[in-house]
Amino acid sequence: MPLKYPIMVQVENLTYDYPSHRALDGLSFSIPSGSITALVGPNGAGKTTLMRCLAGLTRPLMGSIMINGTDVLEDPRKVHRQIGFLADFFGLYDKLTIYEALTYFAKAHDVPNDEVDKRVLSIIERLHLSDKTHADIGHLSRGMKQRVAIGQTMVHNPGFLILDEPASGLDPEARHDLANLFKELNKDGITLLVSSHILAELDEYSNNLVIMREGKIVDNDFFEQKNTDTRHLLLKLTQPNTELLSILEAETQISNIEATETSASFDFDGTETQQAELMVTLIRKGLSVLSFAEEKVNMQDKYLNTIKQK
Amino acid sequence: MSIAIFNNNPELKRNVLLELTRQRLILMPLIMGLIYLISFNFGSSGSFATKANALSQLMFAIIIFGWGTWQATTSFIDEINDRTWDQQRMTSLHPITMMVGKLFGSTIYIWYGAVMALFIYFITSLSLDESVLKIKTGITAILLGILGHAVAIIVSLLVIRKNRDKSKINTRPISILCVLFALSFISYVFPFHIFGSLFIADPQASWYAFELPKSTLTLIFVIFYLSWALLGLYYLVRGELQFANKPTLFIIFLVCNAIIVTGLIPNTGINNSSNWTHLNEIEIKTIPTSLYIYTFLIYCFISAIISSYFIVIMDIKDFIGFKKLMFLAKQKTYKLLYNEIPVYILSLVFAAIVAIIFTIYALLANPDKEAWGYNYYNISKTGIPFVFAVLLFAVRDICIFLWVNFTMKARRADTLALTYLVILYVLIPILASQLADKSLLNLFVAMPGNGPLLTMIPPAIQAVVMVYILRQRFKSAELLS
Repeated sequence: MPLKYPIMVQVENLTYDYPSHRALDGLSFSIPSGSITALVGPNGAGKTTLMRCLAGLTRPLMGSIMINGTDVLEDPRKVHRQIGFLADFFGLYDKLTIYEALTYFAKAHDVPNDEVDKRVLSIIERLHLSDKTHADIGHLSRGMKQRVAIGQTMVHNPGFLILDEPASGLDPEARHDLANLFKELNKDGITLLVSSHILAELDEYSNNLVIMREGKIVDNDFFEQKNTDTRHLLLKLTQPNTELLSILEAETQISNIEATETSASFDFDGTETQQAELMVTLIRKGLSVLSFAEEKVNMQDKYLNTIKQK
Repeated sequence: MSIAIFNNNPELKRNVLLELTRQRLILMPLIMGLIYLISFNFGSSGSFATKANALSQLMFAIIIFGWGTWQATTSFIDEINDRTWDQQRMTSLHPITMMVGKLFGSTIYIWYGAVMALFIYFITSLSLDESVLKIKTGITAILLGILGHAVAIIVSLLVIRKNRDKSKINTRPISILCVLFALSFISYVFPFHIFGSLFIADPQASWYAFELPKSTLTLIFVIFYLSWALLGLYYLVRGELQFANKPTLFIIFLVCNAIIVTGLIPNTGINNSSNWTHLNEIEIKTIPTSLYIYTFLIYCFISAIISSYFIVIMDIKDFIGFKKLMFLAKQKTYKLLYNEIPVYILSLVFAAIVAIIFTIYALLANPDKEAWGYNYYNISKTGIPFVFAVLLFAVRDICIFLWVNFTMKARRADTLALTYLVILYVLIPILASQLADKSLLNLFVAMPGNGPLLTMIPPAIQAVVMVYILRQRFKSAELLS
């Protein structure tokens, strides 16, 4: 992870044991501020245990967790004021209305009395639940309940949200709404850590990937770095060219080349204008370019490749 | 993080919203009114005030000790079962705010009914004989009600602690036990009104050198235990809300409890050293200080040993906790290590310290025996080995509990450990006493009067062997993980 990004979460040598097995085996990784991190891995990989440790709800055997500069193990209560956590199986106070439940959590999070009403109503609006403000939670659809639960976790304006399988059990429309909500929250500067089995969905909004397997991190990749000029490009030719590799190697802005006689993929460090200039250069050097575009990393492919390799 | 006790307490307000609905608010006085009417029409003879007074006591007792305790037991466990507890744990609620919110919030509807019963009780008490005693009894009942609810919540929090990995906890057995415990308070508060309307005067009772009406002493004791119950509850809630707790509080409780109970031994007694031949020559003397000290030490020791057994059953005992302790010890983070030490171990250590103090005192204070001259055990010869034998058997038994719990495949580990103890303390001794000499019983049960070696060596060997076996089990469990 490049150090130029401010860090929201820094985990070092995190180890958690259950009586029958080791759930987290010396994990070390970081999560950049302002990212949406997808936490993926097969069942039993330790995702939920990791999230509960990050939320300060479970104490690990050893290791350290810093969230926004605060030691979770030393001062979990302080961390709770900065984060929100939604468990995979959460409960709601079904007999309370949305307004009553959010008011309860706002007050329980020490939101000043004169701000509670404003804060609650703004969250209800943000969650697109304004027409259900005074409806009993027990009467809401599953998608709406999910949004209420997220509202409860963010009523105190946390900078970091941990969401364990937030989309499970939702219909496609509710999932789409949820994805949009995450994007909106992220735009407002909230860092999100989301675990899910639905990789295509995570692909839609996440820009950081943490892959876990058997209690270990097998990959931690900030694969869509918004503030960098490095892009992964794919070049395809209409006719084979034996000199393709040497032509590309001659360019200083190109690295990590993987080439055949008809195609090549490589990292390009430059602006969009420089990318256009590069294409002109390659055509001038005799390459019959069929296509030349940025190659987006598909999370599902990346996940499957990583799991297979490691 | 601000402390809100009653005013602006979000947890209390949430419970008020859930519990005090309009329908329920109407229903409670309606049902109570109907019960009063039925009772007056079919009840026995007596003045209106007497009947209303007695019925109010009975209604209060049933509502608060029965229904209220049931509700209190479920206050935290329902949050676990409804999967809302983690969200509450992540709020900024202060432990006192949470404690008050749960203690009075979950029972707010029950108190609503109880206050109505109390109102009638106090009003009618003013027109009856012994009104001061009745009012004192009423105040004691209120405090006992809160005590019962606090103890019920303490038990439920211990159950939650032990079943942390479970998503559902069955509340019924715990609730039944807690309600039975709370219902036992009825006899302390209303011993004469409910069972026969017999008037018994408030007798005098002694506590150390003080002579007090029994009702006053009961009230003092209830305030003492209620204070400790609230403190214990506060500590448990602190733990749930991820505050670090020091286990010392429990030991301080044992000491305070021993001090208050020791005061109940009569402050005068018959002097057995006098050469009396007729009943009218019996010499009544003040109990010597040494007897108070012996009683205090013995009470400390017994309560520490019993607590160790009780807590080891109630507490979580997987080997991961011990692995953490080892890790903290290796890291030399002694402050954290101390906070993580299981209370049953600390209680055993406390019992050992008391046993040593007891030994020193028994050896130094022997002259008191001459001065008082009563013919109970020669403490220095039989008491000391007996105390250490009890301690060593307790060490062995705690090791058995841990040994069974450290086994990965052990199901119902505590039941299995208790079965082992029944075999060791009941079945084998019975068999041994039938087949061989009764002195063999020393191998299985702490028995005074057989000499220091025969009393102490068998439990010492068993304790050492169990510690060794436990260490081996710990090592193998560590390898398996």
